[in-house]
Amino acid sequence: MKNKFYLLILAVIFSMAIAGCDETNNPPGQFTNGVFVINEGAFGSSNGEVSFIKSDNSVNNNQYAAANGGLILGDVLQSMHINNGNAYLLVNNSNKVVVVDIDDLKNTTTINGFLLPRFMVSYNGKGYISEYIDFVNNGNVMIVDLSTNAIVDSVQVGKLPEQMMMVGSSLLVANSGDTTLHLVNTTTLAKTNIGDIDYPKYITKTSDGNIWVLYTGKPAWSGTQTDGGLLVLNSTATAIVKTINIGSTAFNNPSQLATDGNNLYYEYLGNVYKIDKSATVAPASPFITGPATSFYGMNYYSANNTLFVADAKNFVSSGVVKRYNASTGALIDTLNVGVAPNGFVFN
Amino acid sequence: MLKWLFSTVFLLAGLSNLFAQVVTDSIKKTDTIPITVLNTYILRDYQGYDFTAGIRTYTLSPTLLRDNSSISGLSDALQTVGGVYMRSYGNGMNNAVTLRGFGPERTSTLWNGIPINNAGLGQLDMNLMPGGFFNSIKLIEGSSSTQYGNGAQGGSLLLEYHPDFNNKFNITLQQEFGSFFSWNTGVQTNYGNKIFQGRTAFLRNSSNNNYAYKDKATVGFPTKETVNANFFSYQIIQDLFFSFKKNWNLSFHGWFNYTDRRIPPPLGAANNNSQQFDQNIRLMTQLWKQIRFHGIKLQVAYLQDHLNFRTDAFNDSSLIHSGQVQLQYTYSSSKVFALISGGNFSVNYSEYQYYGNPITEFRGNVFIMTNWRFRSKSRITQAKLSAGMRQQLSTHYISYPSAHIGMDLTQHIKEGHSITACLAFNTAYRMPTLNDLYWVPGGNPNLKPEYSWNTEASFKYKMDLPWIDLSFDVMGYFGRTSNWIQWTPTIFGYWEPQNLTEVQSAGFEGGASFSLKKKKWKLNLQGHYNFTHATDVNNNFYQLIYVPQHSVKGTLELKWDEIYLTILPSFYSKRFTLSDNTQFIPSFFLLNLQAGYTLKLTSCAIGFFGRLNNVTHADYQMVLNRPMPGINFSAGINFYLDIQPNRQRR
Repeated sequence: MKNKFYLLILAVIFSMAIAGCDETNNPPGQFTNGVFVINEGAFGSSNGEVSFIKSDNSVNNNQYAAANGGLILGDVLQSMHINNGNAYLLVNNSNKVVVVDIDDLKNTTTINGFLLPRFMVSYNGKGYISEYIDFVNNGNVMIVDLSTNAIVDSVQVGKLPEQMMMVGSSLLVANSGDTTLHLVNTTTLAKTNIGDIDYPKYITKTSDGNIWVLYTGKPAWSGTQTDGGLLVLNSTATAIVKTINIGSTAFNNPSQLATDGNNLYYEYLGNVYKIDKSATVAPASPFITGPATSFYGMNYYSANNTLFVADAKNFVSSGVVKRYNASTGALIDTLNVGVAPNGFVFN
Repeated sequence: MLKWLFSTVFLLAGLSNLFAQVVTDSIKKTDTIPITVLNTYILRDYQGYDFTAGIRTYTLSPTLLRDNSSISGLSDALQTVGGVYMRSYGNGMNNAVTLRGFGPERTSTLWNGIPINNAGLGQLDMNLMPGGFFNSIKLIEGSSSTQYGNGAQGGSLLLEYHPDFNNKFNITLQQEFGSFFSWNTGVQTNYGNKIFQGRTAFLRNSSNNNYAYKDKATVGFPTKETVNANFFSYQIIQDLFFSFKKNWNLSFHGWFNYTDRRIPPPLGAANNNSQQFDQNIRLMTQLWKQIRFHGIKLQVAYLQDHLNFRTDAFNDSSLIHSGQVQLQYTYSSSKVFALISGGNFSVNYSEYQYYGNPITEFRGNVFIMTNWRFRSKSRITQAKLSAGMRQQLSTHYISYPSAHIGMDLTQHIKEGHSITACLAFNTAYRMPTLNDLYWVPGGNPNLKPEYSWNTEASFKYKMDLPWIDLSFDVMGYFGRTSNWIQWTPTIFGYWEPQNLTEVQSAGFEGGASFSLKKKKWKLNLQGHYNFTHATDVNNNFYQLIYVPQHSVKGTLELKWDEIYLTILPSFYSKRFTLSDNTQFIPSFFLLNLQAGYTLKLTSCAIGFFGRLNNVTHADYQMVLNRPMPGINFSAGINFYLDIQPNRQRR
């Protein structure tokens, strides 16, 4: 009887111990021939994470924590940039950039000193990182020496700088909080405003070398809402090729931008629109209707001609990635990822 | 000289125990709320009657407040109550009560019968409720909208202060010091005569709050000190009570709170110097008259809630004015029957920037409740039955009526032994908050009120002998809430509240208590297990976030003469942080200790007390990535002076 009692006590302790254990995370995958999913996490919860979709379509979530012994990545993982064997994870509300080895996602260093970092490009041994600083004043592009991971310089740009692109040795910066599109000389750091469009935010390049910029237009909350659209620049960003108006409706402006080289994909009214690079007017009907509860990211994966759409759902549950055939718009599958997926990086 | 110095030192010292000089059972699950007459002045409102038959009611006793909340917030004391989970954002930070899976916006708090939940947010921060300043605190667990109005789906918290018209003058002072350079100072004085009683109370809390935590966002998990977490708060309460001839009673009440808190970032996030100011002004007057069996009471209240939140990049300030008029009629013919009927009318006004234009919203409700008591001639069997209904109206809606019917049946088996069975069915409602309705963008004027129904049954065995008390109780409940309001993102890029889902709340509670008294010794043991299954019906019945399925709480109090030692262990199972239950905070075990000694002199008393919190130095969180402090202490001294030359001491 006494033994049974002890066994019962042990069983209770054992079950309580199990109840207290963390979820078993998947072991770190081999991060090649697949897709990184940037899971932003819920603001203020520090649950930003990285998922990886392997070539066999299996998904491993929480890969940063798994690779680093449960380490928390931070609050609002904004974007990821891969360069020279390293991945740079820009953690917006943590004001930091976490550098990991792309082979195993192990943390190699953390670069501090940013204020709301957003996106990164690299060129000639340097990293260029856009940062908001705040929501009122002009933002910066911070310049990091990638050999030492030290911030070496900065240049002030427009308000709420977002995506960037290298155009030769110059840096094209979309300032999503004003009407400027800056071209920054990376040698002299002199900048030129080459656009006068409302709230440029996304940048991509088509196969003909033209640069496409999606400007959202002024949102309704700014007081005077304006239409969003597409601005097409030539390959040197020295001339405007064309402008395509998309539009705006109450509390809704276009967003997102991806390309397969010949076609552009963007979001408007919760739908995906597809436009040929030679078109001069926006399509009237959507390519994919209502793919997401909370449309939060999109990219094109050339390896299997797939369009990836990130659905953040309600930000307090796991998000999903929906994959569509980029030619037909047919849904291929839906994958569960982390909290609030907002982008994809192909490796 | 020494005597003078001795007195002065303690006069400069402070309060908490002294609000709690009368040491009674730590938690009482009351079978009934007797029509207790404190004195001739008794506030004959409906809380004095048992209109909650069948519903589980806790009375937070002075001991509980002494051991847990001291003179600061109520959160620690509430945490020890069986079905309660406190969602704390860190030591001293926002602390929201969760009952049966229902969050703070679904728990109604009433100050002397007037609802005081913030009209914009629909909730209250329990860290801003000074527990020691109320001599009657009751927690009604479960749906109780019929009795207490809007938002009482999870339960209701009743904060009251009753004067003692036999009092001439007393003063309580307390000074407490603790870890993280925390200082709590409290002063309360009661003064008056048989016609007039005044109460003035002052409370000041401050803390550097720089407790250590394990930084799980930095390689190697180094121990760091919490930054940007200091807070400062003071509260003033003034009550004036008049008891005139011919049973006319009049009172004035004022409660002012000013709290300035720095908000530390979650683990891994940058410090953006978040800061929150809460300023609340609560004013109320009550006039009532009792003529034999008939009573009528008029309450007029003004509430002002000012909340300012700012960071390096953001500054937001809201100010809401609320006026309330409440009229009640009571009838109690005998010990057999009582009735209360009345109505509450309120108006909310705000010029908050996120509401766009200034908004004015009117709300009102009417109610009627009855209570019967039956007793067999031999007094072996007793029964209580209560039934009632409330109808809420507002500028936007007419909600479903809420109703309650409940019964307590007690059978005395033999001398000192009894069993009690309780059964209740009730419905409740919650009106959308001002934020739900008017926020720009997203506020949804088409929202419907939430509507809940709940049924519960409990059974209790009680043995009450001269030197030993023993009781066991079990309770189960089941209910659903439809039109559950949730904020959700839209395709337009902003969030909007919608009547999205239905929530099912089911659970089981079991408890036991044992107390032993022998000469100067007193031993009190309590244990409580709680199982909560609060799920989203439309989302695969996943458990609601931040609702532990299992919790176990205990109390061991050992007292010899005026020396006491209290041990408070508690355990919470994991709590999901995502609505699809794929992420959770691990379970934790917490152990707190308190000890004290009260030196009673002729007309004064001096108390010494100490607390040791989180004795096992558990690394735990109540909210994801918001670390709580490890082992910490506080200690203090209080002084109580009572000048009652003509009073028969109790």
